[in-house]
Amino acid sequence: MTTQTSNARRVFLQKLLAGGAAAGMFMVYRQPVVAALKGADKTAQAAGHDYAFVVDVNRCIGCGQCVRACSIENDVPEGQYRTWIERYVVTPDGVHVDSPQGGMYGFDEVDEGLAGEAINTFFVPKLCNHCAEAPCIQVCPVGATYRSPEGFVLVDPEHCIGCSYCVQACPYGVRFINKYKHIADKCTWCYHRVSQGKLPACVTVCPTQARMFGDLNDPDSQVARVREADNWDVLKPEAHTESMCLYLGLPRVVV
Amino acid sequence: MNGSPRSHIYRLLVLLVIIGAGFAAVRSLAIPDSWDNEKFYRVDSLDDLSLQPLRIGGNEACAGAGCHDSQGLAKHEERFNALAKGSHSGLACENCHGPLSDHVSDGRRVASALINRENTLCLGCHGPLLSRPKDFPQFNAENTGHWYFDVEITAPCRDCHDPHEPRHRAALRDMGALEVESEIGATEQPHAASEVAQ
Repeated sequence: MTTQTSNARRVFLQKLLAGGAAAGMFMVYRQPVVAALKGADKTAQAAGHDYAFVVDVNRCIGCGQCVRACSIENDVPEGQYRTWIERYVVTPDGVHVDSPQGGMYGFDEVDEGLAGEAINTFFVPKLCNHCAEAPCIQVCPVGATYRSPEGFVLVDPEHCIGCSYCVQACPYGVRFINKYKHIADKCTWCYHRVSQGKLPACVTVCPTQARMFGDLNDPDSQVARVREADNWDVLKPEAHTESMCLYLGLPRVVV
Repeated sequence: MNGSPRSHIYRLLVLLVIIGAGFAAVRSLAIPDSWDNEKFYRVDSLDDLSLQPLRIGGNEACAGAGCHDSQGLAKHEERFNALAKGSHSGLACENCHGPLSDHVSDGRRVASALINRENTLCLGCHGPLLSRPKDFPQFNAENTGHWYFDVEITAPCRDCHDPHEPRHRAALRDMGALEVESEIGATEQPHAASEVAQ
């Protein structure tokens, strides 16, 4: 009687331990288990496309076509920009950066005094970096911003409450609160165009091919070749955002 | 007063059930239908976002895929093919002629495409700016053709340059520039050289 009871208790404790361990394992590795149970759809999608953007600083002429096309395509309010061009003028006294109206209507010549001192001067197009580890997604309290399986960081216009946490979280300053829609707005890499097989508007109109867009999973694409060549930089690598906008010829002075 | 001594507990339970049901109802209404708890976003928003209308068509749209007028189609195709071979091959039609949506809407022509003959359009890219890449052709009054004909930056570019092929010889031949080339010979100025050379 006594031995029977102690055996039953031992078996119960053993089962409890095993069950607890299994439950613990499931809690720690929940995502892969759920994904495995749901089937391979997630991995299949990820294998489909993995988009990236390339900006060649050496090719940008600061004409502003990209900014204008973006504003038209995406109905961006005047005075707000999903993409913009910065002009850097590096002098011995410091770095001067300007971007009149986002560079939308091009640039006037650099002031004569400044031009005389300039060591280096160039244009840098900026846009959302569609980071693989995006800070804006982490801070969104309602799950209105997310990264699609193909690598687009997007805002769900119906779900966004316009709290602007993401605007503050973005290290690149690419987000803003749309002054008419009162929700977070940013470059989408023209998701609507790409999903129809077209290139983003800014890439379409760039007259010098300073902007490139493509699929990293396609080894023949320009972006895949650029990444392979391994001579690219990203903006603010110290932020560890895993930016998907690769810059070519990016001087170190650019922030 | 003369009810069950545990009635306060029953009332509390009923209240808890009502609160619980209310919470569940509000929660189910607040969470969108296609909410994915793993990915933590509304999956349908991808479809919603992809419905945004296109306004920039790209050159392939101008090549005539949707144009019903065969004459217009031929004209567009000819331009498209000519542009693809020339020094302006990297340009989009819409760079100079305005967005497609201002010209065609729902497959129908709504207005003429923009034709801008101002030199400010050309100078938007080719105006001299210190910050532009040094190998990009920028207006230079000192280069062979411009110097020979005394061309100021305010002059209409179209008088000599065909915007669809600005390096085309025909316009230059009319101006007698080919004689200039033989007189002066090749110069070290890259723009001038490429302008008159084949």
